[in-house]
Amino acid sequence: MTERLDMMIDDLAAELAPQPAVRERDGRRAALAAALVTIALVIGLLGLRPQLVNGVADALVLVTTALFALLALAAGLSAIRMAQPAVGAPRGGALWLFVAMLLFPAIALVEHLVGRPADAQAQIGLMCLLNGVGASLFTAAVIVRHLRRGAPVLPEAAGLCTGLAAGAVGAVAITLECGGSSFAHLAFFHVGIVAAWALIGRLVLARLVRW
Amino acid sequence: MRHSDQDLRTLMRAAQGGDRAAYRAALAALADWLGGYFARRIAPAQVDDLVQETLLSVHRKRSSYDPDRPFFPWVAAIARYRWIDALRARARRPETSLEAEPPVASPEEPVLARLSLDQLIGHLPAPQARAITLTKVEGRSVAETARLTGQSESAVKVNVHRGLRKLAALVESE
Repeated sequence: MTERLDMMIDDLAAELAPQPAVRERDGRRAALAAALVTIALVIGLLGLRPQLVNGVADALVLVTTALFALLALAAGLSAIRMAQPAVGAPRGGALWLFVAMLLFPAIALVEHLVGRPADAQAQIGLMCLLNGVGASLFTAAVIVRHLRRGAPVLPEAAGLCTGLAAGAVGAVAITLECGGSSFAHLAFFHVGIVAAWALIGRLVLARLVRW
Repeated sequence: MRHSDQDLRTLMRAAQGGDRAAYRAALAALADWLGGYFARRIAPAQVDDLVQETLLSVHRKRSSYDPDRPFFPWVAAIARYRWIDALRARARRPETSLEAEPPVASPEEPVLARLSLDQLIGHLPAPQARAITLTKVEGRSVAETARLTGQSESAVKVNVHRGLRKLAALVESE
């Protein structure tokens, strides 16, 4: 070891202060709390989907909500895990789930092109998209805070997973609230929330978690 | 002395509690390990700088280590992150040549570095691989590389730049 390195190690050791480890479970709890608060706030402010209030369960809405919830879980767990560096850590499941969800808008687009346009309820769709993007912000902030306390060594992937998780939480909240239930509406405007956050995550959040 | 993963976990656990002697021992052991890790991945003249940068990263991000988990996968991920940064820094400076670097310390180091690099370069398209090999490994100038490969000078620069970016991505996806 060189003298310069030896001196540096002495300096680093001299300035050591006790610092508790960043725990994965703390990140998971914080992200879960953020997701629940987001959903409660959206439903509290905008109300529950009328069909759910009346106890009528639309299968498509339920399946879509469940897929968003699964995506939020998979991407959220991946993002939180990325706060702790590790070689060989598994990743990528959330991304495949998101790719599978992109089949929704792809199929809706094909239906539109072959002359069977479904009503995408565009007038409320834009509001769903904007509300959903806004509602995702809190979860994104909580996960980014956890990542910044840690040391993500794959910042692009961490940003993307954070965006997917936050967008999926926003999409769950909006799907439970909004009255639109056509396939095209859910495909374009609700999956669109996740797609928008995937972009934000990859392009913006990745920079925030780089160190 | 070579430390086991369990030794370093114990030292880091104590360090996170504020034990400076344990922390010093952990960093010293790490410095040795990092020296060997980078010797096979980067030009020998840059190893010391990269070891220092990585130790600083370990210091700054020591709370991201969970002592209930193995130590070396954690530190290897940080070392790789710093290595990728170094590769990217080189990608941003396509004109940089190895000619300017001081002579190597031992005959084995460049051979090992070259073996590791050759494996990665094998994944690149031929024009990028050739441009990187000639400019970055053999230390030839852009003009000389252009003459030897039949590429224009600007094509050589673009191939080196793109190739190094691709190398960084390859390393990241390992």
